[in-house]
Amino acid sequence: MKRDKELEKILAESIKDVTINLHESKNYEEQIEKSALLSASSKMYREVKDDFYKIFTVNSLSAIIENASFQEVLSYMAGEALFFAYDQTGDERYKNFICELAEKLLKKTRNSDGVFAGNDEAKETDLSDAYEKLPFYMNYETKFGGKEHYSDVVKQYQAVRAAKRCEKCGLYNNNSDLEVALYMASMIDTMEVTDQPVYEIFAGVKEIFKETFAALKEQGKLGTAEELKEDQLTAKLVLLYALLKGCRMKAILSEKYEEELNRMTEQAFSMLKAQGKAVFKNHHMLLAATMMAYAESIKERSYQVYGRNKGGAIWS
Amino acid sequence: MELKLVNVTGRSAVVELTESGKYYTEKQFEIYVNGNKYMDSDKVITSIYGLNPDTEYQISAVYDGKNIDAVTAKTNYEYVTLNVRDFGAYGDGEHDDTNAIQCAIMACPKDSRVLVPEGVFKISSLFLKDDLTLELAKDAVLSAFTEREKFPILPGTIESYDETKEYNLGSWEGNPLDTFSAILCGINCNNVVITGEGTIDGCTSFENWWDNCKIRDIAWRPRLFFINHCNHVTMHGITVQNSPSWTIHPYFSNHLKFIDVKIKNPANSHNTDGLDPESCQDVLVLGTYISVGDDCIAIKSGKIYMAQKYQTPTSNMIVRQCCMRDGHGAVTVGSEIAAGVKDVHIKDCIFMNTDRGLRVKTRRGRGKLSVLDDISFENIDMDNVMTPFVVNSFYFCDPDGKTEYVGTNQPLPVDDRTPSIKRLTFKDIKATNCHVAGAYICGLPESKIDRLTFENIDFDYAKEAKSGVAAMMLACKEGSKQGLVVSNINELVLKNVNINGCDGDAIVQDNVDQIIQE
Repeated sequence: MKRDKELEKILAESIKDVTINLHESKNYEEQIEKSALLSASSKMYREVKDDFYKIFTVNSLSAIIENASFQEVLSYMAGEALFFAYDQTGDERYKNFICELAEKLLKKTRNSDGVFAGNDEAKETDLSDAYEKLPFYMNYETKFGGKEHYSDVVKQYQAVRAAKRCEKCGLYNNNSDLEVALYMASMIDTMEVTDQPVYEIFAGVKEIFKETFAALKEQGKLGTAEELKEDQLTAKLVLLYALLKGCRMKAILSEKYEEELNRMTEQAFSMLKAQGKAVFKNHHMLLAATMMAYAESIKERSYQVYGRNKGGAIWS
Repeated sequence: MELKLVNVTGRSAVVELTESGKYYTEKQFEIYVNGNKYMDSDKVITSIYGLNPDTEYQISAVYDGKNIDAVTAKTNYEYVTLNVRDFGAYGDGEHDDTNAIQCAIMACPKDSRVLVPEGVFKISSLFLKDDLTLELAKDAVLSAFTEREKFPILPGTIESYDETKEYNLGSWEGNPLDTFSAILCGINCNNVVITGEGTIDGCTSFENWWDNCKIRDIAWRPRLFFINHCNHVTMHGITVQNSPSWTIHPYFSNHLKFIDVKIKNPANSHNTDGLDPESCQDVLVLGTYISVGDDCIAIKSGKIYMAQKYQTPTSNMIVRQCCMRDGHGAVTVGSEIAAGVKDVHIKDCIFMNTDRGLRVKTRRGRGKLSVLDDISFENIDMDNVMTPFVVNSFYFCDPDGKTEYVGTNQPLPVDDRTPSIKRLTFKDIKATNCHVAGAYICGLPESKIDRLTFENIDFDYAKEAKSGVAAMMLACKEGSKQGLVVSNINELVLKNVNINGCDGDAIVQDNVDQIIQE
């Protein structure tokens, strides 16, 4: 899709109103929102090259790592942003922080399904066990961890699937649309940072991604551009991000799905633009979702461009 | 001793002088065609060129003053010859001749040949097709460009429209990944012959493909020759050299012959395996010379994703009268053998200056489909091979290669990830100037090698034997002049095994259930 200057202006103005006071997250939802905003901001910088996004991300994270009592969910979910900050600045503090986080992650108690359970072995597995931690875990393993625990990452996804997926319809009925969307996003983000030569790991996560997409389709959960409702936009935009990225990475067939996904994305953006900047006030998750979907939608999709740049997301 | 006809095309014949040696004959001999002297030869397998199509020839020999009875060779019928120069190829070492040669290939009718005459023809990728004979004349060189942007890409997988299947084109180290197409490439082709005295030169150096070669740059590096799902393909006589990565890579292809081929890459080049059949059946490698920078022959069947999906081992393979030298392993099985390897026999060969003679590389995690069985080596001379026989079930490859799971000596539960090695036989083998060890054989404690047979084997050590690590596994220490170091085997048969000049015990064994010595 082409760049939308009007939407970009709204997004830039909206995020300028946001401060990520990490030590002051009131609850779990706020942590998720802030993490998503940081990751989304790094994605926006990569596509629109507006320095504001880079500064916002780097400065916010700098405050995180300087504060000893970091918020765990925030940190793992902001994983992409942490790696981005390290890439952009070369500041070893980010790498050290990433490695410390990873060390803490690997020491975490696991529940009976084998997923990380925080401090509570009795904790039931949920989709959040995937989207909170696994993209960070995989990214760490690929870049700094020697890839020793690759098979553990895919096992965690398989455990989450086994615990939460409805065998009959293939959906995750006990989870909200947003949780399912974040779960899909986590899978495609994990696949993106998986090293190619360990193909069976990539294929293991891709299989769950495709299976979940197929169930959403068959059960009518995707909808169409015409059916979009305002109260669905946050979850829908995260899902659109995941599916557009899935098309680009050839996890699902572009030929069949990309056109309708683009229509839905455009419709969602139109609905937001109609309300202006006000729509994002105090709706950080919606802002993050919009940024994620927008950055993905304007990404160059032809192989000759992104495939021929070294180190791009060039999976087949 | 007799002459046997082993191959014939429209313009050539290949004969074997039986019982005359291993790759090289013990004495030089003369070859006659229709009573006229054709050449002197010192090779067991000799090619005769310049014949006419659809013609009968009497080929005879004189060896050590004795006449060897003639063998009749009837060359194949040929309809037309398509000379690539007539299609616009320059052959001047400068112009891009890819299109012109590809045009000739696509226009070639059945029972005909595309002829690349003397000259240097610059190309990127050429694609074969059914019922093709491609002949490289003497002093013809297909010389590859090295700019990667000139090469098309073979996508790893393309999903079917109904989303139930995938179409695999590219392959890299056992996985379906985007790869540049090979310099000479065949996809779904049948009945192809590549023949002649000419050369395919990848022109690779550390300034291009071998630079930073572990990193994917747009796509993974091309092979020099890659065939995917092809049948009845013969490569005869030509020289292939300076390959960007694995030189000859037949992949999910059957009924293949490699006869009197010369495969050459510098000893310090990266991943330039000579011949890597992967998930192939019915493969003959005869009279071939291989000197490369990695394993000379590496027999494979993919990593775990491909193995589980397609379950296609490499099987029914014969390697005869070949010379393997200078590489890491003369004949290697692995490490990508997740679908197994069976019924592979190496006979009447010479190995020189390689790190290892036979090398089996496997590890926990290759999977239960990774079964190696009925692999034999017979009538082989090895000289200056660091360690003639290595079976390593703890090969520290892949990201988790150095973890406890892969490296532990303690038996682990046998599960879906456990590979197995059944029967390995080594017979009538002379290994002189060994250095590190005669044999270093390690099965898995939980899945021991079923039966390992050494029969009529002589080991002698170099006077100034070098020290080294026999096997790439965590527990293997550097050593020199070790005998047979064997572990985790059900039945070890030793018949007439002579180990001369090793330091320490001739046999060092651990967890071997039964040793049968004669």
